[in-house]
Amino acid sequence: MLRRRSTLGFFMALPLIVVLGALVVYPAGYSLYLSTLNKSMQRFVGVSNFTFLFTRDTFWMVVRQSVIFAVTAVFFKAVIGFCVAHFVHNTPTRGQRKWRGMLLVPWVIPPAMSTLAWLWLFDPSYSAFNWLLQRFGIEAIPWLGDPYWARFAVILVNVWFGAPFFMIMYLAALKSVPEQLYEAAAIDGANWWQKLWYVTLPMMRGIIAVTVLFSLIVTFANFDIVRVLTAGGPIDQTHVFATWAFKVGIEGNDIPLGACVSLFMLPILGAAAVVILRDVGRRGAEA
Amino acid sequence: MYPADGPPDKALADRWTWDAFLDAARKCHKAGFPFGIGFGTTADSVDSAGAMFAAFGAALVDRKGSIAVDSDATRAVLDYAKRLAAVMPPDVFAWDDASNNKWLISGKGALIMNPPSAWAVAKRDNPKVAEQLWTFPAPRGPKGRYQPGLNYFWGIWKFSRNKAAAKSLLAFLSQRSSVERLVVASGGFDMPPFAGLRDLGIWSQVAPPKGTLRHYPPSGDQIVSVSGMPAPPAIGVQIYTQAIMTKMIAKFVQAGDSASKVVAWATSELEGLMRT
Repeated sequence: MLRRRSTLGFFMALPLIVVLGALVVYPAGYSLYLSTLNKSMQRFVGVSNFTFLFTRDTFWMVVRQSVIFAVTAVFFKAVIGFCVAHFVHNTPTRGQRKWRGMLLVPWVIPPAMSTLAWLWLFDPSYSAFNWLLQRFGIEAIPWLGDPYWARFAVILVNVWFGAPFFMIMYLAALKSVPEQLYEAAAIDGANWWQKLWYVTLPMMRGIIAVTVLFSLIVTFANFDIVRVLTAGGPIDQTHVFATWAFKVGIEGNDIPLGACVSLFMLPILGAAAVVILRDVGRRGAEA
Repeated sequence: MYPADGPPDKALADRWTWDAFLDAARKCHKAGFPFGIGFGTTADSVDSAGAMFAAFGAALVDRKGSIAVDSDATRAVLDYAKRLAAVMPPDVFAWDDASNNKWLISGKGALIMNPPSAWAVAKRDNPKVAEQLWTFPAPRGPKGRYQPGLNYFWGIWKFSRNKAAAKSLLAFLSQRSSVERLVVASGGFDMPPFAGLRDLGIWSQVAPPKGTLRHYPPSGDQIVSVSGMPAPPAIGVQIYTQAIMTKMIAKFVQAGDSASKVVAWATSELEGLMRT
């Protein structure tokens, strides 16, 4: 009986396995193969593309920027998501659904579309933000023209887009924390901070780890927000791996080098996944 | 200089140099209506920068494919770009192909470097601005008056089953009468690649204002060039796509790197582009 169920289970999962194989495994393998070819894709050159990449200042700048972008954006998404989840959790049950729905809107709109709206808000000539600033006598800000403001802009849009995901995950986790633990803490004289530190966070540790890992992977590989907002500029200072891989590989007609850039993320994200999931697994076993 | 109803005034046009351009830019900036030339990474910015580099005689890679970026001409154009950027909006380093049009049509700017698509959109969105727009050649630099150009090509697939008909179609489309119909349909925006076809009447007729495109077709001492020239095509297209010139300007002006550092960076990038 068990063997029939697992065979049936396998066949039911087969369509997904085929899709994953065709759209994830095959392209990843093909990228690995491409990265070992020369620029015109006619000769095998081994790891020469990688060694060439490591000599490029722009590449190391993209590595730094990607790390700054991913870590900063994920940190703020997690903090904002955590705080907003608490607010929603503490609103009366009657109004919660409405708030949940409204707060999910940024995450539901296709990012390329919403980023276009942000692009217009940051527009050099027609920025609504600058219009408001100028009404208060403050000089217009070159949101996308200055490297530091441009980095701020892409991180802001990414946080705006991604915070609802954290909010909804943390809200679900908050609802699963037993109320008795808070009652016991209150009886012991714990204040709000102690409840948060000794009850809420430990109970949510697993979900926090998983959401941070998931978001790190997705944010590291972000393409649409940076592409639409800044296209990696100014002076390549908002490029992340995906946008630079596109620039080098597709627009620059050096597909093997573009493949190398995108593959560079793999060991970094793989290491992060191993470390975080090992911690989650260990805590699960202890529980 | 370039009157609406006649040929250029040679004496005045000879004085239309990049130095005169900078002088005019400073005055317009002081008056509150700056010039706007993008130094971003999209086509409009790269085209403008290419014309500027060519006018100063600054080539990144020469005709034979050797890196030639380290030159006095390169340093001269970087210095010029710095002086120009000081009197333009600070956003120009992030401008895309729509930004310069929007800048002009908003009424905030006095000049952009663009074909007359901006005028065509202004006619629709802000006629009061459109009525005051005039298209005229780029300034002259120490090495000539360079006009940004970007040619498009028609081709027939090798595997085409009806090459004879395709060739016949292309031959028909290349006739003067067909070219004229295409140019008229584009409102004078499309520019025939051959000098012999640049005397069509449309450019003197479209309005308002009348004569706004009279001096749009390249003529006289204007040299149409593609950014990246005279590099061999395989390298030139990379110089264009990777926006090496505008990035050089941005590094020098915005990031504050020294000319030597910018040239070293460009050399490194160009070496990368030459990989086979």
